[in-house]
Amino acid sequence: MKVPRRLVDDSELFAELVDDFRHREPPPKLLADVLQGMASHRDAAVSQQWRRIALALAGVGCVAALTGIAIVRAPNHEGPSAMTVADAPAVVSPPPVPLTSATEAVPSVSIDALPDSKSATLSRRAPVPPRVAAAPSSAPPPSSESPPIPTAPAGPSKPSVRREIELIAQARRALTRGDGRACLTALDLHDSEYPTGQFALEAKVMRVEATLAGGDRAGARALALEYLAKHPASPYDARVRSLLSSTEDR
Amino acid sequence: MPATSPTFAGRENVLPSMPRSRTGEKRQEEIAKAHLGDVWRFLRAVGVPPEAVDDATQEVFLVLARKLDNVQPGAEKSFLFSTAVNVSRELRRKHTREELADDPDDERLEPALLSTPEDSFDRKEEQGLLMRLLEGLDADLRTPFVLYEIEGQSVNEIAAMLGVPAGTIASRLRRAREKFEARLQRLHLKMRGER
Repeated sequence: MKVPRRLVDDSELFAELVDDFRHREPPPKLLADVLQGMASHRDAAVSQQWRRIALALAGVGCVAALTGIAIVRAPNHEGPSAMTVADAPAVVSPPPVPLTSATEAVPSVSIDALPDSKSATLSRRAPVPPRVAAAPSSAPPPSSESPPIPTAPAGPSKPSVRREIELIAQARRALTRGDGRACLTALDLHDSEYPTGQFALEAKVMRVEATLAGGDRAGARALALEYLAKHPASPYDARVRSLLSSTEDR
Repeated sequence: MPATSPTFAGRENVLPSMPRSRTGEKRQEEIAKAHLGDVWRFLRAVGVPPEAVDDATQEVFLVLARKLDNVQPGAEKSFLFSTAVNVSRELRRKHTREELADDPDDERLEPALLSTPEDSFDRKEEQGLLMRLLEGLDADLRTPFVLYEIEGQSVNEIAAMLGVPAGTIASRLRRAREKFEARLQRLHLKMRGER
């Protein structure tokens, strides 16, 4: 059997996505809920065990009581019994109180009919306090025509591929609406934070487009030629050549 | 009560043993603390929807609480993942959410899932790019792929966990990788605005 290579070893982007994913943490309250759920399950199991014991004791009490009654009512002429009549009341009279309370607690359930904790299903599980639903995050104020460039997250965290994608997406949105300047601003930010990022090629091609969209044909041409020289076999080769011809045609 | 004493003595042997000791309580708590995040992320990665993943995590650990005595030390994570696979299957059956994986050519990869600033990646977990990419794999491919690529399990471990021959797992992993890479490539193209 040939074991496949791991993609995480071959794709830097995928490795970063996985690394990013591994840093996601469950809501802080979940651990407390899980621990409480397991404790509730344990308490329910203990309670069930004690109920079984109470039933077992009640059963023994019933047997003893019936035995006592039988002995009391037994005809004397059948001969001496191993248990004397005087023994019987000691068995019969004290149990009523615990016996009654035990049978009242579970009046008609046999031991076998009790649910087995191991077969309990999701719907039967011990009650777990409901969690408070995550409050919807407050939306930022409506953006103006040019959405703000997202700022780098605070703290000493390593560069996040999510942020890189966000910057690239921001640049593309600006380009789509014809805002070459906003696109270049986002690309500048991207290039400064991720000079060798996962989307470096995409950023370069967009820079050619944004420069052209801004009317700087000579600049766009220079960028396109530089791109083709540095990346002669990139997936965007045809695209950049097309842009290059655009700079010549106009 | 001399008449009943022998009976009680006999019953003691058949009474159920008392529930878990303090050692067991401590152990299950330690397992929960050590692996809560692993289980939570794994459930999300194999396709449990964000709104159901907390409850599914709870369910996994309740199963652990019920079966703790049968879980060998050192095999806790494997047991939890195996249980999580079952829980996620059950959820899929209940909610018939297979449509998540039905159309790998949908527009979910559109990076303009960032179409507004409010939709930034940090805002909503369900918009995570990795999740979008994984949605292109159906459950038969997605679960082993996640176990292999994200959780670092071996082919044999996955085979044992899922009850499927190792050769089948290896084959599914290859197919999953092909599909996943194709989607990754499309992501790059769509980032450029190409279709």
